[in-house]
Amino acid sequence: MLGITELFSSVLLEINTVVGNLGLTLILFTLALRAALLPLTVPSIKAQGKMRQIQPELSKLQKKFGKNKQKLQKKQFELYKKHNVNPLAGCVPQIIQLGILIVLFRALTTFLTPDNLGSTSRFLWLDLARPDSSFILPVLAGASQFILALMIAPGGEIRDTVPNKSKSKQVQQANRQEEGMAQMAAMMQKQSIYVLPIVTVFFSTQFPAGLALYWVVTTVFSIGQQYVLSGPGGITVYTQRARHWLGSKYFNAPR
Amino acid sequence: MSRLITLIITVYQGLFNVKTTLLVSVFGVSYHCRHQPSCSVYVRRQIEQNGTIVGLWRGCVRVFSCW
Repeated sequence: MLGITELFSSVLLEINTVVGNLGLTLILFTLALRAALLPLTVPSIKAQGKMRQIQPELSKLQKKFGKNKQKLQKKQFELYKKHNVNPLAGCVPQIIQLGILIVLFRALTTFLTPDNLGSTSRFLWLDLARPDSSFILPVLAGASQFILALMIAPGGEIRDTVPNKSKSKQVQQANRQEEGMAQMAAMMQKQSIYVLPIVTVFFSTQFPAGLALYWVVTTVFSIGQQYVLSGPGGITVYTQRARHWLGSKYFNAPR
Repeated sequence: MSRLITLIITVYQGLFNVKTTLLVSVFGVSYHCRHQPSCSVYVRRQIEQNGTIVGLWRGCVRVFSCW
């Protein structure tokens, strides 16, 4: 873990030595990292759309082979293969990426210290080694996070709520409990769309401005990538809701 | 014990969007669950049916075999 942190830090230092501007170093580092990840990200975003398309077929397989797990898994994999769904979207790659996220955060916070950078930490109006007191970067980080959260929101809904059709009282009670839990989780998910950008703004004011710059660049990159590959996503739904709400509030109000 | 784990799983499901948004922000990779029910629901059902230890074990096997 420490080795990877040092590797990221040394790459940042090398780029900074060549470029001679910390802001540009961070932007180049972010863009290079994202460009290197493109071969993985493009198929995964396309696969997300395909997964939505094949969801009815997956449900049919679940009903048909639900009791025979091995056969179900085999049929699922056949379906993924047929539709060319990205194999790198499972739980283990996510756990690995969460680990890399922590390492990246540590590398950036270690790199962005006044002792490490001296007087070279200036970029535009900012001292990238200290928190942004003008709040411009933290607000930009929060705003971009909000847009991205809205774009990918439709993929985060809670599934698997059990229809309460069972005749057994015990099963009915278990189902009710599960529905209650699913509703609580769904409520938290909806609120997280609004809470996460606020948390991002707060954290961006506490850490060096360079970290906020990194966050803005990487999130804007993700927004562009998401838009090009799968369109505006949930933004369309939220815009329609906002228009409807504004219309009913200001244009159809009772006189 | 099983209630505590069920609560942790519910909190995880509530934070699903946070995890997804963070990973999409940094890596740009979008995720979808290949299993139905999802692993969190599966673990909760296994714990209810077979107890905490067996349920957790089966959940871990499923999560760590999902590449």
